[in-house]
Amino acid sequence: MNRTTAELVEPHLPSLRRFSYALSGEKGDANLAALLELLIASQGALRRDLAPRKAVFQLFIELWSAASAKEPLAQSKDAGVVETRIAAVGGRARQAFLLAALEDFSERDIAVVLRTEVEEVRRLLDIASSQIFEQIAAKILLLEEDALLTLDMERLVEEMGHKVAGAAANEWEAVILAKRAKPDLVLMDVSPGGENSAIEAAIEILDTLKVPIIVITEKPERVADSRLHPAFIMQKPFEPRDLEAMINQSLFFEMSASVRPGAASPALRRNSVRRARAQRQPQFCAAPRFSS
Amino acid sequence: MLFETAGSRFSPAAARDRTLCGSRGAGRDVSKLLRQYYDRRVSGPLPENLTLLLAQLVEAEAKHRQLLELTPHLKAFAISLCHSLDHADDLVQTTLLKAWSHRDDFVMGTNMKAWLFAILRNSFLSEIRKRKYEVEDQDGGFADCLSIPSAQLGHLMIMDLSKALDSLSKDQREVLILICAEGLSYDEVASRCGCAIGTIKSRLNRARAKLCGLMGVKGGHEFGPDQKEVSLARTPLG
Repeated sequence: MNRTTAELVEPHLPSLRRFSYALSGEKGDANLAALLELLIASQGALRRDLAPRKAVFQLFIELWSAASAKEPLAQSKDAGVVETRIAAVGGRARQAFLLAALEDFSERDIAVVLRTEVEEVRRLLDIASSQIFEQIAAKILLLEEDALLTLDMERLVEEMGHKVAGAAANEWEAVILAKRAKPDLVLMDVSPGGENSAIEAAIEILDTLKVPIIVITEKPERVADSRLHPAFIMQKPFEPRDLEAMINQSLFFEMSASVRPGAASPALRRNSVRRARAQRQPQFCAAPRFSS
Repeated sequence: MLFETAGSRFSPAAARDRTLCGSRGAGRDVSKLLRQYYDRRVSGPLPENLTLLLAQLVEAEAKHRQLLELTPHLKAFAISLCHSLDHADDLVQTTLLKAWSHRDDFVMGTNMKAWLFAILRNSFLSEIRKRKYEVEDQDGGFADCLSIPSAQLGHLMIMDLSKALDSLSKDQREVLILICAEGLSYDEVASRCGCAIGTIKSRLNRARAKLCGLMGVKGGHEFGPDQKEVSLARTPLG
């Protein structure tokens, strides 16, 4: 059954619309309209030898590249943090990044869509990575209840390319360091036997500093039960790579941590314990929160 | 790399390797987060202008399809008028060309067959009129028109023609349509375009040559009537 161009294109319009917005901001819909007008004039423009999704994206990018690749991202007044991050990535690297990270295309498929080789795609993704990382490289404050672990964490953080703003061993040090160094992120270890001092320190830091907080712990329920609501909770043992991802995502999306009012209810405690036991994977917060 | 895509393998972190995604499972989270982020900004049904354009696309394709389906009927009608296969082919092409350039005039749902037959009949009649009155035109106006031998007609799809037309320059396309589809004489086209007859003729030749190349017709000589057809065309009909 020969499908019409409209039938091939229509299912992909919502994601194409999102992609177009990510690529060119406020001009997104106008560029999508241009694609449809091209197809009205010449339905043969859509390739039938490719899977429809690839064909549609390929044609759209061809059109976009010809018209507006060199223009800066047209941002609305309420452009959020992600738009700012993306705006720092140049033309083709931006296309590759969004195709990979937003639309979930494989490297091979991106190569088809961008009409290039896989090596070039990797190169573009590397460029996007560095350009994004330049924006999010952070000063990280470590809150460590166990001094031995601190050294390990410092090494990990530096290997990721971030800087250690300081390592606090107790509540007071933590608050003072936070006020002085103004870190971009707080990474804290909450040990099972501890007295909640790290958690209290974090809550106090959040009083004056709006910063993502990531908790590493063997017992996530300790944090889930507390008044602290971090950006992420990471359960030990964990892959360094996962921690890196959580840190970079928090910074990329400017996630926030917050404080829950009042004491945790008994019901909350039961649920969080059940949840923690059910999961053997590194435990992340159910819904990372965006600050914008 | 700041992240891994769905298709790449996990590789141990190199010294300068940054990760937005972490190991396989977490990689999907970034896509999900990004989509969540953007869906809050670009969500809901398509805006009206896009829905409208989509509807226009559907209509354009429906017209295409109908034109294709009716082409054999057109050919049969043309043969009944012309009594010559080659002449009938020319006539069908001229008709399709005209119909295509006036496709916006046709309202979907009305009788396309009748519309096409009317165009074909009118083309045929104006041909006859021109032959009767063509004295000064030494090259033979109709004989110069777009003419593809019937062997090629099998490969001629209306879509190829429209794509090929699109790739001509504006001037070339205009001349081709005015002379072959509208049936104007060189004089009329020259005065309408505001240039010399020689210019019109050379534009027409270039347009035909380009169409030849694009539609896979081999040589220029295939793209036009042979001597016998020319003399036949010149003979006024009884």
